[in-house]
Amino acid sequence: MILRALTLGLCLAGLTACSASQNLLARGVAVAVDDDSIVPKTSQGFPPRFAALVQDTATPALLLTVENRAQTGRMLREARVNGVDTWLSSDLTALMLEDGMLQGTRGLGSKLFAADVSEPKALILSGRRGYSDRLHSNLTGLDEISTRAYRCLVEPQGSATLALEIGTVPTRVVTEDCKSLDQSFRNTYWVSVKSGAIVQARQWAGDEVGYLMTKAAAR
Amino acid sequence: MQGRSRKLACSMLAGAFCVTSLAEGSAQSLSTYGTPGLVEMPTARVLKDGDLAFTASAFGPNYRYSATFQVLPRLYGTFRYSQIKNITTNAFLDGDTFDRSFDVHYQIWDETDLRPAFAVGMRDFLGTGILSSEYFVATKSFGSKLEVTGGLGWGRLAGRNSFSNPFSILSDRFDTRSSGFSGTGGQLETGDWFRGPTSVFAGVQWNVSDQMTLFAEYSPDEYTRESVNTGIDVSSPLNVGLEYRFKNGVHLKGFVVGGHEVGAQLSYVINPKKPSVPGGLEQAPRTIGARNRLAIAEWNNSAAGGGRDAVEAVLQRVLAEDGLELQGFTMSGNRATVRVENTRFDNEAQAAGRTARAMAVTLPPAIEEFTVVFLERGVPLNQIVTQRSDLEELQFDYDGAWRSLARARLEDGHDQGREGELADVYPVFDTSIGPYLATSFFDPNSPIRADFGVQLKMDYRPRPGLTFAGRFRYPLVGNIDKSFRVSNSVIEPVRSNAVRYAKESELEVNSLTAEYLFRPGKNLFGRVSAGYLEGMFGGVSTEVLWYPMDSRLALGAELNYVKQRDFDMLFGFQDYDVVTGHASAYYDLGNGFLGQLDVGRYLAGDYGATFSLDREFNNGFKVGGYFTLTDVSFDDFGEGSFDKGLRFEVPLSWLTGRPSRTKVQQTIKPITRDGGARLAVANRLHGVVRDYRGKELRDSWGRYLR
Repeated sequence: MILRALTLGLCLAGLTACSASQNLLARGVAVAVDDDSIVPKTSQGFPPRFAALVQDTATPALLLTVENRAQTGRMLREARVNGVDTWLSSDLTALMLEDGMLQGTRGLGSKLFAADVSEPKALILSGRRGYSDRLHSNLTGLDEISTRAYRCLVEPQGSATLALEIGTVPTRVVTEDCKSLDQSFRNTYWVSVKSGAIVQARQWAGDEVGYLMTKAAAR
Repeated sequence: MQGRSRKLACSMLAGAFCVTSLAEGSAQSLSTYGTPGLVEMPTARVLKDGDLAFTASAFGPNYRYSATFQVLPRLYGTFRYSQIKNITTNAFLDGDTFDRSFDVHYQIWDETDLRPAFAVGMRDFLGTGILSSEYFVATKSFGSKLEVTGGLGWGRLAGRNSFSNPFSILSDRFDTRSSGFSGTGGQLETGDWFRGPTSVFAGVQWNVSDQMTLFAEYSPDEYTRESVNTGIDVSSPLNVGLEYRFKNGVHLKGFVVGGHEVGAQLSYVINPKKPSVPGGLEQAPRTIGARNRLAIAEWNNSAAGGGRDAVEAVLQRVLAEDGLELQGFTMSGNRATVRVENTRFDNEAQAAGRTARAMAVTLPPAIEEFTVVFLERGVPLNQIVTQRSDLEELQFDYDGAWRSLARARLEDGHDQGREGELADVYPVFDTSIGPYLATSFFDPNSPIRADFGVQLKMDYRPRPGLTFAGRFRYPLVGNIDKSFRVSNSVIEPVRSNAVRYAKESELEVNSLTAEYLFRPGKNLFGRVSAGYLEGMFGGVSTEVLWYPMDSRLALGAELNYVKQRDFDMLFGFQDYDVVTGHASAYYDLGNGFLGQLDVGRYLAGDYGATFSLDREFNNGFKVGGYFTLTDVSFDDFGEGSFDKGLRFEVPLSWLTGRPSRTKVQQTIKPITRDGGARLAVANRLHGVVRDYRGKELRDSWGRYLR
């Protein structure tokens, strides 16, 4: 009851005088109710699931920047299944990348659930120009999945040499311009000339989160 | 998603607000009555479907607090609490009047290029009639900046330059409208709707910028009744206003009514369809890796001390990370069954998905079929059967939600026993101490009253379904007991002595019960509760519910024998006792509407029925209302004429983006009296069971793989 009352109070405060940002409201509510879904930390300051990855120094790392939140963090690879890598952050949000291409998000505050990127991937990795389709399925605010298709033009844009944590990497730059009826975005990929893998990418994760920058990182 | 327009709106807003739906206000301007309008006059506009708008306005002697809900795309309803200062010279309440009122508005036509939007509405159609008016109104926009509104009004909206009612050509009875207070209020004042003289009202709205709008209107409302004592001066028919819409969704309006009365208004619109964090902020689910690697996991390796018990321990730990409490585990052949209690996820399909994942990352490779049984208080509510290979295949599939649903089996689970029960599950002993808040609304002397204190809760469950529970309260501060309200009921005072209970109690045994929940058979649920069931009544309560897994319809029956408790809220009883109970039908009407009908005998011994309708958004946000008609006459019922109320429920996860089974819920009754009062027994079955039955599970399946 008090829980209800407190949250109601906070909620009403938020509704009538919402000059403070929602994040503040959400944090206030979370503090007020002592939210147990916020993960307990180990002595090193990591939740056990992430700490296990930290301990294994063979686990690959990734730098993630959420551009419009100006947030950068380091993620570690938890698993690779069916060609999809699951990258985990210390607060247990996850990014799914398929050969470096954004395939899904979990807990990031993005609606993107999963994407089918097989067509553009074939063009990008092979260095060809061409049109392709990609599919995004999003979780709506009503907990339903809605799937959208985008028509994308993949174009090689020359080369660039990147200074990454893993060293200096010569790359091919490839852009992917995608459009649907009412949305458009442009992803950029940097493909290592040597390994043929995507070592850096700037990809759109939906209206809420905007663009994500991922870079191969060293442990 | 609305694509570009939404994107644009987002880029206009500061980054942080982009992810907040709370901030995404409607561009629709609201009047002092809290409904789409100009300054005081209504327009033919509506809010966006499902929108919930809150408005507070003040000018002269008038203070209005309104909540408007866009029930259907064309229909909105409003509840309002208003105060008019010094309307009488009566010393009672310093001459102020307090009033609760309801409006409805129906948009008959949308606007097109050639035709204006057209709507009909009624303000205060149920109350004491102080604010009553009816109207037909048309609104047309010219370009993106200008909007023109014109209409015909009756009641309050027929003052200046009124003429005889055009409906009089239908019947003479449209000529006259009664005036003054209409009895106890609360009744449909159908006798007065669209009656009496008629006036024209009109206005324009000029959108200066995306943030700012100017209003000017011609108002026929002369504030006749108020002008006698309150000193309100509305000598001019012209009202003007200026609204500024802040980026965070708050609308602030300044206005002048009648040339002299300066006022201010604050409004805020929320869209329940858009939770604050799209997609949520929960911790990511575990990825289901290659199954054969689990063969060498130490808990599956008998040479390394692994085996069923080791598997169980690992499974219990993995489930606990997601707030899922393992209570039973069996494994044989290629099948495994877990029985879990979900303490975290308000989306039950997500809980099912997480449970199945925990099994997939733990159990030996030979296990292919997973059965997840959800328990509440140890009683099985359903079971969900999934193939492990489907999870492996679909976990990253863009169409994984639909495909996994098509391949899963949702079953009743009534015959799940206690096989494989974990050794330390029973007895359950839960105790918590915390603060509580009790509220009381709409006392004219103090519209919001509250008591705040400490509460001790104790639960003891020796076996599945059987719970001994107590809730004890000690108020520390509060003012409910300072109220002067005494029961003036002419029927049995079963609820109207609330103030006396607050006054005469100190340490309070809020409830102290023995409760047994059980499954009498397939699709059936049963409950027996006995003891001090609620603050004012104690006794025995029995209930049975029929709810097939895939049914839209559920039927229930409840029978109680209860006695009224002493005002000290300890262990004694008063003389009054009653047999009360209801037959109930619950029906999912589709499109998020849930109807409920309860027919039976109420606490005061009156017979009747309660009609409820809730609009439930798939994310759990709920807005609804109910009314009860019984054989207690409107006069005997007293103020309000019959029992009615509005209720809303906001999942905490909607506010925070983090999964939680906590909800913010509140029922707002304009007035609490003794007719049509129901026993407030805990854990009525439909509420306990519904979220885990087929339709609700399917509707929430979008999160199964999240």
